[in-house]
Amino acid sequence: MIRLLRPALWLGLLLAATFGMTSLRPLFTSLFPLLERPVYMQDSFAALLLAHLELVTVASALAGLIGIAIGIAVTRPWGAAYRGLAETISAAGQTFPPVAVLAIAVPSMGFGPEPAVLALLLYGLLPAVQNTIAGLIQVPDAVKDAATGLGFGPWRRLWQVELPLAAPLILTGLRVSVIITIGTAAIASTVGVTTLGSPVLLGLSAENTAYVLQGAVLIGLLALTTDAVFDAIHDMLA
Amino acid sequence: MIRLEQVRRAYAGREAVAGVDLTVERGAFCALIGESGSGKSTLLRMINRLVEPDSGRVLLDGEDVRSLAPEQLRRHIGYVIQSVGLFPHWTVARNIAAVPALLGWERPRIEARITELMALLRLDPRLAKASPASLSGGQAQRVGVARALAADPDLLLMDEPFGALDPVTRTALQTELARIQRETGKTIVFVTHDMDEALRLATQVVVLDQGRVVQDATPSGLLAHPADDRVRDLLGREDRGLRRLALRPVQSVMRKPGPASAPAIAAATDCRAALSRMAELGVSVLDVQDEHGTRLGSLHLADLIAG
Amino acid sequence: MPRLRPDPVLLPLVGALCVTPLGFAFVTAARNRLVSGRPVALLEAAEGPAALLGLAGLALLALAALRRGPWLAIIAAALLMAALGWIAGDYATTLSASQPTARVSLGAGFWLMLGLAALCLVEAARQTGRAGTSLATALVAAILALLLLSGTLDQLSILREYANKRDVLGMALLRHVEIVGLAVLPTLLIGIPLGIACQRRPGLGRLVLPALGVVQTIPSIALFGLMLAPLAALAAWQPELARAGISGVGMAPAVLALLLYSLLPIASNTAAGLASVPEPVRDAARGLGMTPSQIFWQVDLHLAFPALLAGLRITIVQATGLAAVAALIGAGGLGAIMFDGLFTGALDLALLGAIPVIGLAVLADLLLRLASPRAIA
Ligand SMILES: Nc1ncnc2c1ncn2[C@@H]1O[C@H](COP(=O)(O)OP(=O)(O)OP(=O)(O)O)[C@@H](O)[C@H]1O
Ligand SMILES: [Mg+2]
Repeated sequence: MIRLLRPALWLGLLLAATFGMTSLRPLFTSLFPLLERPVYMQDSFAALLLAHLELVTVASALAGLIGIAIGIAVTRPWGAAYRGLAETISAAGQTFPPVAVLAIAVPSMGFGPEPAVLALLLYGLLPAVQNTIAGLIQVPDAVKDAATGLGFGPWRRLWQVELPLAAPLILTGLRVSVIITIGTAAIASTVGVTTLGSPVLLGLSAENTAYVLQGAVLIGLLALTTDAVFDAIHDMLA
Repeated sequence: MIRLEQVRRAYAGREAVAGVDLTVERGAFCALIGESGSGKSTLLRMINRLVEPDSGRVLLDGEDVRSLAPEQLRRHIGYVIQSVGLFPHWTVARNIAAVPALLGWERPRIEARITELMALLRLDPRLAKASPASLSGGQAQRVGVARALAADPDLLLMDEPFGALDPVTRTALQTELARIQRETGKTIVFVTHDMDEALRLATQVVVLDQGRVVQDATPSGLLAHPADDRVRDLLGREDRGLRRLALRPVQSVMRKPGPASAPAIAAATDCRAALSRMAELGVSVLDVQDEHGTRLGSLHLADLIAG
Repeated sequence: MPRLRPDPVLLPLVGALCVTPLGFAFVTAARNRLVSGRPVALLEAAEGPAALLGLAGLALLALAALRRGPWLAIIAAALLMAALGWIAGDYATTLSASQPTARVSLGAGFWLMLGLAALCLVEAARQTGRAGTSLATALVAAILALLLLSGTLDQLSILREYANKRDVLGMALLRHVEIVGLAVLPTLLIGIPLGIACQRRPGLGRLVLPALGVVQTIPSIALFGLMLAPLAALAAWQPELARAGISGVGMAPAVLALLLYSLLPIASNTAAGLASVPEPVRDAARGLGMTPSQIFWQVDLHLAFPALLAGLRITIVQATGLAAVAALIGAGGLGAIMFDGLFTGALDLALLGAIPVIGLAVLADLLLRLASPRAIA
């Protein structure tokens, strides 16, 4: 239960900030007395959070599933020929800054949420694939041999022996993938997607520091909540 | 001469070394033996101040080791450990040269010393430029010993130096070490788990248990009069007789040469090997000969057993 | 005749290369810079020697895929990449000769084919090892240089944007490097001692490293946003600071945020590198009589150096990307051009900003990998 305390705390803060931001108007008014509209009103913060979450969830879930599947495939005997390529691409691809990928991918596929999801998904794949491969190949050969010798079939061995042993590294990959996706999704408001990044961008262009602050706080809290959730899962696995 | 006086050392309230008095004479080959956790390493490491005693004194040639700066002290004591601890980022040659370099020797003198030591430890000179990672376990341990000997210390401390090696390599290195000790007359303090190794190499065997000295004797003294059951267990109850035989060369029990019908055995053999040979051939008399085939004497089963 | 031994990786890639032109526009042609373009298929765009080169490249690549010839595959893939650029460039040149304001942009088909050819190149290079990788890198660099210097690509929209923005781009590139440098240098000065301290005192490490981890977790745009208000307040409170260039927007918050981000990889890699020094090695060093500072300089630091360098590489690559985001808070650099393009819907301008960002990151990664020591002393 103690494990769930930290994610619960961050989640509480995130929800409180999302739903309570508007009632902080007096605070923002006193902080920024020169601003006519000290609280972002174009969309409700709850709607922004939901939109952001939707983008991240779809992209990350697909990236995770596909990434793990690719990682498993290339570490099986029948997919081994592709492992080198998968390792090279997933390592090299991550040197490409995610913003730059977004800036290239989205406009060339047309602005809007779908291309953004696709770009986030493609980028999110890289750490998922990389860590799944790393996790599966670090399982000692002796352990795999023993499992086979005891009569485990290939799939049972994968499910009951290899994946549990690889789980911590795979989880790390998913965490990296999701955290990057959350940050990049915020920047996706520059290509016309409504996310928690929208108040920040509007605030920056309209010199409304209050908007910037409101968006930034929520994005930060979302990332920290997610990170705490991954921490809790990690502890449960251990 | 090394002298430990009432040295103690506790970790978290548990005494790893609990009041040890020990004297190791110059030129002695002292083996520290005992079960895992009996305090052998701790005792050894107190000599070069890698561990400081909570109380008691360690004297080297009458001088308290605490009167010397630890680094200076260690540079004049060789140190070899089981996991070898070669510096992975340095070549074999540079590893061997570590202490001479610390002591500020001239380049040519260091080069000469490297060559000399590689020859002494029978290391292929081509390995000088190799990386430690490319060495076999036996080669790595030879380099470890060479590194310890580099500055020609009078005293060599070895903590299970051959523990991780296969039996053949281990025997080869034991033989080398015995030869080096004979040739150089160094004092060696040696930690081991292996009673045969201790009996074969040492002139003094110190048995430790729970941080205390249980017995301090010569190998034959130990075999003849084990202090208690713990020592008997270490000696291996069934094998004790055989081990005693192993300490004795055949020449010490042979009689005048008899009629020349018996199978031959080399004069350098020990009594255990001779007994084994008798059992193998089903005879009770062997003919002792030197390397030129000259008959030196005859060996009788009754004499072996009578000891 | 040698038996066919199809390469299981290259063959499907070649197959994909053959069908891509049927489904995706190779380039798009627009009447001017502002309107959206008409899709043009590869078969419509390709003609003359460029088309022949492309066909030859594809055929050789197929042959290499069927016969397991990785060296041939490297050359064939490089030829194909050259041909793709040449075809697009030729088409743009021809079109702009008759319609000077027309803009030809590279389409999804071009990028997909280029990507597939690059995958073939990477896989073949991987199969041939170090020599193949060097050859592939050299070929790609040579082709790119040839296409750019010969002017073949000059009429493509992205190069026309470049021609217009040449000076701005140069300045932005310098600014970008400046931001990264200003953040990374102090990070080294703080991060390395911090990492050493964290490794020496595990209690400190358990406190500091997770805290830096939290900073890493906060998305860049949020951290920039959070720096904005306090720095703006600071500048308002102390006008001297404002005159010295400290304010909520611009270089100051960007460099500060980048510095905070960079501390974690440097400090934690320093600590991890030191922690990876095997205990027996340290024990032996002590036993031989090395002083603590000799152990640190001659053993610890040497053995930790690769990890430290890896930390530096991660830091620079990461900072290069983050510096692009920093353009949103007015720090300038390549990100400014990139976002300018995104906000105005000028795709080629966005590319013009984004491609050098990737180039810088990849270059930094490559150089620091090459600098990584493998030899022993
Ligand atoms: N640095 C240390 N910290 C805590 N406890 C220690 C330390 N060094 C030794 N001990 C403890 O002291 C006791 C004696 O350890 P020591 O290493 O001297 O035994 P040993 O006889 O060399 O054993 P082994 O044969 O396993 O090497 C053990 O119980 C050990 O756990
Ligand atoms: Mg020990």
